[in-house]
Amino acid sequence: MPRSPCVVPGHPHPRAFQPKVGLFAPGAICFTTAGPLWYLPGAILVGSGVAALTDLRSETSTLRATIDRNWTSILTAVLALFYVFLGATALGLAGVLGILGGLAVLAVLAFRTRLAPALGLALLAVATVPFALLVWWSFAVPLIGILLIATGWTALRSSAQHTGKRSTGVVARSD
Amino acid sequence: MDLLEKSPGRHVDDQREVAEPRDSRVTRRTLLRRAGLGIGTVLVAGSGALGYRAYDQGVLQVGDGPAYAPWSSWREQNGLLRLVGAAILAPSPHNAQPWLFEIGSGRIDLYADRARWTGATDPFRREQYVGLGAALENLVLAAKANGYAPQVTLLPDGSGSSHVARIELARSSPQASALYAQIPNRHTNRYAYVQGKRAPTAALDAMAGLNNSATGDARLFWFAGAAQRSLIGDLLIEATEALMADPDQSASDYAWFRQNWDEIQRQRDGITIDAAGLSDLVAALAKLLPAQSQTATDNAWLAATRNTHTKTAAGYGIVAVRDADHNLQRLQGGRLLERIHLWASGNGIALHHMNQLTERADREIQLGLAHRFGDQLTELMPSGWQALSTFRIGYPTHTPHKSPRRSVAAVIVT
Repeated sequence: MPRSPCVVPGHPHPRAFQPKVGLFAPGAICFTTAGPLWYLPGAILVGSGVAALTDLRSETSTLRATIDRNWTSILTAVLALFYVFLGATALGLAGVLGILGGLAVLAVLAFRTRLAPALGLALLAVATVPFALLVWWSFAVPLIGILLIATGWTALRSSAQHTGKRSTGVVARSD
Repeated sequence: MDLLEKSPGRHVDDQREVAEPRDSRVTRRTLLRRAGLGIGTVLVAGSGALGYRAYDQGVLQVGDGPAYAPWSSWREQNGLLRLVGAAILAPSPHNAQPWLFEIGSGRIDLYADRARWTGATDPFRREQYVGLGAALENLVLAAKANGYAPQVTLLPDGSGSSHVARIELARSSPQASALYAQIPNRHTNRYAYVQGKRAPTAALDAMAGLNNSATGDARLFWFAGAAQRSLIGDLLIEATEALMADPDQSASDYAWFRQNWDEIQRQRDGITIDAAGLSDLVAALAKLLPAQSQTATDNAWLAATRNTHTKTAAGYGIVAVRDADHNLQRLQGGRLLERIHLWASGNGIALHHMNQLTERADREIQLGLAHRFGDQLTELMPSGWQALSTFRIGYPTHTPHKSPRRSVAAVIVT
């Protein structure tokens, strides 16, 4: 079978670009809508597309393992973005607490390897509980808040375990 | 010799020999971990859908958005538009807002928007004209507060015309009243009222004394005694049941119930979940769940009438006139009703319009039915008076939410 003229030896197969285009296209569409709330998912999609432009074919297995190891952190980050989203739609103090709370959770995730799990959990609670309490009747926010704490705690513990294993491995090898 | 070496197929490496049992434990553990992650992913996805539904239905945006802007922006209007801005904050049957305004040089004309009619629920447009009277009262109060001396001519083109009133506006010194100050605070309160707390006689007398030359022969009659409250409460429940059983009345009532946030922001009228007197949690759930059917809405209304509205009413008031079929008297009655509602708002008393009795009485006449509720109303009223509009009062347990309003621009005709 003749080789496709689109396939260049040593370069990624054209199909590798499909997911990257698949991120850019909806991301660009988000910025064409009238509602500013669409800018948040648009920025995420476009940013992800930029990151995906890097040829990850040779690092797929590493990437897969990384995603697998950090899946709870990814879920927590998604929930934090939901918090920011709902905070953006809420009125007054509730809106402020929602946006700041979501951003605080993202910060906790970013520094999770440097935080003791107990401290991280306390920070998660401080970030999550006020918004959930203030609009407890909304049902959606308290539910997301509970999931945030649950997945965030799992992510913190998982991060601590991985950090501890790496330390143990160094000690064992030195024996 | 090392046993490991003699055994065929066995690993010589001690570490790999030790690793074999651990591999099977890791497999089960990995399986459980992946199952947990899968469940977590599903929960996160579900919470995302729920969160979007909350945003889409305005769960966290109660009383916000363009549909509610007239409540805060009415004083920002310029000139005579400011008077219209006050008028549109008046109550109306099912929040239909059946009014149109024409602004001329030194005058405002009020017209009935006949298309904004609640149909079988108001077969002879009684409530429509009461609502127009309420809007007229707000306009007159705003005119005085903004330095005009209003001269009102009711029905200048005759009772059958949609031209409800002409208000001539000469410049004068501003006279802001306590009633005018309550215009942005007046909201129908469909919540439960404080049980056992009766309105003092002085308050009842004050509201009954709010009629003036502008309200003509309209009068307020109170039914605050225990026996009277029980009687009217039972009648209201029976009238509600009769309304539900009438397909046309039930349908015309349901047509004005707004359950979708986009619809509220677009239509800017009707009865909303937020203004239905539900607790915050129940209202949020009602918004998150799919829209209620007509039957479910009817049943919820009956339950609220029986268990909340009539159960906690401190008293009932009936605005009465000599001839409830006369549009002019309906307008006068509507002006008195609005004055009562504004006074109540300024004195910590909640008010909720409950017109099931007159709605059924009119329907009985329209369909040639036995005058069950009509006769009951006749017995209630003093001789020579006809019930025009009924409401309950009490001390509030919740602050009512705002209801949507069409903008000033939407009700101006050129």
